[in-house]
Amino acid sequence: MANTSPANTPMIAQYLNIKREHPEVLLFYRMGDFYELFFDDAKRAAALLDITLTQRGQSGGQPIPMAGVPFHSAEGYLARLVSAGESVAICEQIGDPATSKGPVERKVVRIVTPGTLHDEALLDARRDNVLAAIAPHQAKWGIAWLELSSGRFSLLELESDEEMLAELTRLSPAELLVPENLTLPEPLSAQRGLRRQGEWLYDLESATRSLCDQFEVQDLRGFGCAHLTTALIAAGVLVDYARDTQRSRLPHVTSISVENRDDAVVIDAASRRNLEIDTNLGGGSDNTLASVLDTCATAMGSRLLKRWLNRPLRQRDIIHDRQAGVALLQLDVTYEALRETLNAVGDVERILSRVALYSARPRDLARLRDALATLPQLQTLLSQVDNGSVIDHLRPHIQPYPALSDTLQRAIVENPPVVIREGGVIAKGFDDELDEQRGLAENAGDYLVALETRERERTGLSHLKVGYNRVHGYFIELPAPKPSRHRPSIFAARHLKMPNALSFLNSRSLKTRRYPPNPAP
Amino acid sequence: MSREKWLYERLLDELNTHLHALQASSRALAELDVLCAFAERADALDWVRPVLKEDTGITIRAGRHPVVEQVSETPFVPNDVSLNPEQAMLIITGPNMGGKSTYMRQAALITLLAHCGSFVPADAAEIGPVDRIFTRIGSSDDLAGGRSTFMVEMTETANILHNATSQSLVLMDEIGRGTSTFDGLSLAWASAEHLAKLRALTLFATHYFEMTALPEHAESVANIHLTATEHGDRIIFMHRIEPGPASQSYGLQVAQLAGVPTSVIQRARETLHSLEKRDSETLPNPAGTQTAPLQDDLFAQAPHPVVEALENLAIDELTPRQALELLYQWRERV
Repeated sequence: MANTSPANTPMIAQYLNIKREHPEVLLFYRMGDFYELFFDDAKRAAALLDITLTQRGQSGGQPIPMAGVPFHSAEGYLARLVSAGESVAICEQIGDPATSKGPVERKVVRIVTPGTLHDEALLDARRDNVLAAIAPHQAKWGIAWLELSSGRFSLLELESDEEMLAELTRLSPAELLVPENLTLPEPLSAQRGLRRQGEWLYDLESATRSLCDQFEVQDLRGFGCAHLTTALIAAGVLVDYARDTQRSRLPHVTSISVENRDDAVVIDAASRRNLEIDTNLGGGSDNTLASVLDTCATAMGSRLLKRWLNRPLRQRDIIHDRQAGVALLQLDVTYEALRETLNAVGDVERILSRVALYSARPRDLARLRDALATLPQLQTLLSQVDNGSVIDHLRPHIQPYPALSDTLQRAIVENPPVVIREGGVIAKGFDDELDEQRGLAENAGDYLVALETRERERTGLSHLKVGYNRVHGYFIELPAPKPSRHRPSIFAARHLKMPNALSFLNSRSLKTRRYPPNPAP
Repeated sequence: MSREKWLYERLLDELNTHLHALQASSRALAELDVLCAFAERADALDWVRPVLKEDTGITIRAGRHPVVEQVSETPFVPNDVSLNPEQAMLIITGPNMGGKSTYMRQAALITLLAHCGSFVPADAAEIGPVDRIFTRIGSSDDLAGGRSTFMVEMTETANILHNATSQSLVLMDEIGRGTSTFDGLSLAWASAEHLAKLRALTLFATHYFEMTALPEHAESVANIHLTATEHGDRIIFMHRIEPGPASQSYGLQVAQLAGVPTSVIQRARETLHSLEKRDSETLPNPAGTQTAPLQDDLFAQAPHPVVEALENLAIDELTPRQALELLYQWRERV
């Protein structure tokens, strides 16, 4: 890797500065319509993704290796990198290219790692995706784990290596944080997604501070885990890591629950594999207990079912309540109508996490809208189920949200596009100003003619033209440079009531580049 | 466009003010979904609600293996299981391929399902409290880890012997297979005896017919076997559990079924005859004649010094390494 030196262009200097903060992950550096990778990152990504390795400019007299993927198809490439165990820092253009001097300001907005996924396209819908952290204390272990796509955050302390390994087998984390200098028990050396974290992070005081900050509390007594100091250290390391990768406060992670090992039937790692609960001995999911039982209508149901099967309970009152619920649902085949309605519910759990992280797509909101619309019917169906089972605890939460449901019904078009950036998501009639602007955009031709007339009169330039082309967008064209005191400026334009679709600036001032076609991800 | 984006973000803002309530709702919906799936499966697959009782023990009437039943093309043969403090261990013998593994696993899976709140594949089931489920099954070779089959087997066995309680369900399948016959048999015997002392709820499948003598030495142990009948030289597996030990192993018939050349089968049959003949001349047949073991009946004689040593051994206090060393010593003496 080259050093920052006077020989570097300002852009490469900026790149190297950002890369220095993220030495161990691939850096996706946004340039126009591409995410570019440079130097060793470029070589690694080119090999992993089978994309073309090219060169751009020089650094220290050497050509700079470069590879890139188009931003609109980045998701597929990300999925491949993450499933290969890589993490990727996404560096976006923050500044306005038109007004920037030198390279546009850029910032890492998120680090995509195997254990912190919440994007629908990168996740297996019917399996949990878990980030875990372990911390040792003498022979004991503290363990904490977070499912970022649901917000579930738990911790546990264990007395021996075997117990710790048994729990990790149950949780099957996609990514595991461990102290840098720790010698791992042998079976862990082959663990996928191992991430070494600096020793100094494993500190009770800073962990407690991080957790209090995350949950917005003074101390952790309310969570009943203050005495589990080793597990708290793991939880603190974990929450710092997750927040750093998301560049977010993780508003949907609001509490941590203590798992009590004595509440569950203990199953060690080897026994768990032998029982083929949700993974068969060959590593697949066919012919497992879960494959026989999982007829869940929703993906979140499938994931909960697997969690239940993987953690059979010793708390007989809870089991009894569940059994009673199943028996009540069997009466008059009540479950059939419920399941039919649940089919329209979808994966609300993961959608809500994306809402919290502001990464929800238009279709997420459409599905949430449809899910909320089922609640009145589910409520009615459940009101016909007798009392005396776990369902009594579910009823209070399966209630309609009339105001929210109404807002979403009015706000989102029936079938929204995949991304917000192309527009057409918000329904007509929801917002007057938007409707007005859209009216203008639809009548852009008329508007441009009127604008041209107005500007000609205002400036006295009879050859002034307002036009549009695909390269430059909307523009005002002036006759060949003639000294004039009346040069219309963008500032003048800003006084006009302009539809958003109009811009006087060439917004694609960055040079776009073309690659030989890449194989589809 | 930017107006639309702004509106979209305000929509997310509004949803976020209801985030906690919505999250609680989504969790309730997921749970309702699972309960509905349990109900649907119970109806579709003819599963019953297990009775959770407070007394230790597992009683299953006409239990089936939840997965094998679904994928098998022939009708599944249901079987009973009865484990309780008075009969805490069942020694399971019978032909290879006869269904020992399936039988044991179905007991474990039914117990597991009952502890999840699901119904279970059986005509009836009563499940007492269970603190742990252990399975030492087959040879899960840890090739990647570089440990030998036998070492893996012993590590897993050590873990079970250390941690099992009278409320643990323990499945032991063919323990001792990874080493020489006598080592293996001695280890199997000692492990079974240890578990019997703990009164752990144990299903112990073995191809060592000598093990069927354990009920005479330890309380709360009983023999069961899986049945097969010979049809000419062929073998038909009945997959049905019967009380008492198996009468023969059908090893040659299974070999024939698997396609071992007829000449080799024929030669094996001759060798077997001569071995059996030698046995009956040199060894007095042990008390239970109906057992008619085909292999050397080690335990019907005065205890071998190694067996005595084993019996007096505090296995719990051994490290796996010490256990291995003892094994090597004993092999010298056998």
